[in-house]
Amino acid sequence: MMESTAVDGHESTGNTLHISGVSQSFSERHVLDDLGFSVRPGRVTGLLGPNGAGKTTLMRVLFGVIEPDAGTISWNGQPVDASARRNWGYMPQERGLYTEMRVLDHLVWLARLHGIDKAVAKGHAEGLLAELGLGDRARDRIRDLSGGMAQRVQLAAAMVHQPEFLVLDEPFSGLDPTAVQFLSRVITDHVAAGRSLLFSSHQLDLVEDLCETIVMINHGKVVMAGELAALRSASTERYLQVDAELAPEDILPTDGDIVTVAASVTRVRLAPGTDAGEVLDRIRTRHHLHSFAVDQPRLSEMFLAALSSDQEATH
Amino acid sequence: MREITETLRKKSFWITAAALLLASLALVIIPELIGDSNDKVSIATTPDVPTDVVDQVTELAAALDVTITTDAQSTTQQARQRVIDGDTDFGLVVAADEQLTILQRTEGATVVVPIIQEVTRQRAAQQVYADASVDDSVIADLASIAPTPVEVVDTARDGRQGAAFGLTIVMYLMIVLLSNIIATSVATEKANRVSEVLLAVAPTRSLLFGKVIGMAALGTATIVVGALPIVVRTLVGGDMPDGLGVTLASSAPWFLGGIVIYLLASAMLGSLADRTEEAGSAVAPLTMLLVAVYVVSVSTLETLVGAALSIIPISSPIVMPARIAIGAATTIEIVASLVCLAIGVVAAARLANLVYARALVRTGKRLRLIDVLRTPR
Repeated sequence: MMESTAVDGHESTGNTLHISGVSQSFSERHVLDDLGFSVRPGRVTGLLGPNGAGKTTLMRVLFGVIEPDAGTISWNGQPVDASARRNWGYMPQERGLYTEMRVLDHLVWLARLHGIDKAVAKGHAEGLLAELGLGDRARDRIRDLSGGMAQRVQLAAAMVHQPEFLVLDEPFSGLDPTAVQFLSRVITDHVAAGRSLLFSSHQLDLVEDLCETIVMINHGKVVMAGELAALRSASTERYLQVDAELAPEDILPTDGDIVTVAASVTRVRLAPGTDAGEVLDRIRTRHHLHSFAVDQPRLSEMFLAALSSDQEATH
Repeated sequence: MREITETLRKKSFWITAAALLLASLALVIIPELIGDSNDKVSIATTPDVPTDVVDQVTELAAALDVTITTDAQSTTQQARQRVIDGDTDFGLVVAADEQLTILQRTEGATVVVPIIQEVTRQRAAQQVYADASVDDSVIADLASIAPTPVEVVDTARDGRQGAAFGLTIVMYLMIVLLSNIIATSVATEKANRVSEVLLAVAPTRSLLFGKVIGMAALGTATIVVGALPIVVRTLVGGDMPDGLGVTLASSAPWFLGGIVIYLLASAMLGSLADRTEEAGSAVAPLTMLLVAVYVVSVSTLETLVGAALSIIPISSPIVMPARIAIGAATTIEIVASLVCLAIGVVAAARLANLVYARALVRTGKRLRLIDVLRTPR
């Protein structure tokens, strides 16, 4: 059984989640395979991976919606039970709301399911709605809200009982940049208060500025986990990014590989020991550049590299 | 509580509840408007019809709770037209051969025709006796011989039968309505993942049984409110069909058991759907089963098939109250039916909980019951 991966190099304190050796199969298909990691309070932890990696299944396992075939999940050092989960908040990938209910009623009802007194629940809900900019829509039915507003209500639904641990499944999916920025602020505020948070995303580059700790999974296995800054620093890969569309003949084969060409921006993964300045000079003889940078790998590039290493190790 | 609140917002629920209340009110008000339950029959007569014939017919009919009113017409043709037009029930005229003739609009059995025939036959017989010089006192004695009395041994049967029929219809409507509501609710929660949020807080059995108990309470409350006019009228001693109250009371266990079994089954089938729109087709087999039970039971109520259906839990809620109402159920059958119903409720609860828990987290396509039962995941 795989032990929980020490993603942050710290010993656990309160409000810490430990997942160890969790496996889950549906019929003959292994969705989670000996998965293990920890989520620490005060850190934004991203559960990252492509669609079908097993992120949603893991979240369902966390909340007891699915009983895993194997493995343990503990909260503050104790096996997770229903009373622990009462202090958690969950926002599923889909809406997760009764669209015919009024916003405030829905939030109060959910808070009461978590054992909160009605008057207190109402206070929490109203405060949260004001914070999320929905104070004037409290009496509206959810079906009458725009997609962005409904997304905020969905977030409020997960937070209305002031959970110690917040789990968000693909919260950025389908959001515009303003909404992404807003949600990012809510997430960082939550962990800044000393609470724990785990969110999933398949849009790696979208969330790389938000994540402090990452757990990358593929086919139900952890392929990379740890403090993002440390993982980046530890990476031997360097990228040269220029604002031009490069062709393969613009660089020497020994310089490295062109890995990304999009929207007039090209990233070159530099071969080990290559002088970035020399490569840049070669490119400038063929293209007029306005900006360039020598960069650490992006999350998506780290994921692909980890995947490649994992496949090599398997073979 | 949320289920009840949301159901109370549905138009279909209020339409059914209103229909139930109206039917109940009709049962109370109509007898009052009609007054006595005696049949009233009008007979068109012509001046040449002997008045003593009409008087005797009226007297005999009154003994059988039939009130006769005469509709005097000038000619046979007018009397005939009144009957043809439906303005009067019968005609009694003197035909061309000077025989008294009864005019009836269509063929069909009625108590009035034999009464008239008996009166006219007696009148003819008296004439024959008189022509044969039989003593007047003998003729009077013959005329005074009363017909064989009839004793109705089960006066409440009609009332009970009517109550059982009405109750069956109400049961059917309520089950179909609530089954669709609960299946749609489960399918919607599964489709929009509300179920996942709820499962994170409460176990599946709490969600399932909470829904069923809420719906069953709502269904029962609706029927109690609907039946309120009948109950009040019975308590104040109004003119209600005999046996109605007894039938309603004795049907309660089957009503409750039936509602619970069908709601559990509907919630279970609703959890197989992947989208809200699939909820209706998911519970369609259950609705068809309900219709089949009703149709078969109507024609087999007093047969061995009816007895068997009244014991099987899936059909007993429809069949047993009707069999009790008409006195066809034996004590052993009633006890067996109740025991089977209790077992059925427990079995349905276990099966529904198993399927519900498995199906609720399997998303992406509509599930088949057999597949869910075969594979734990």
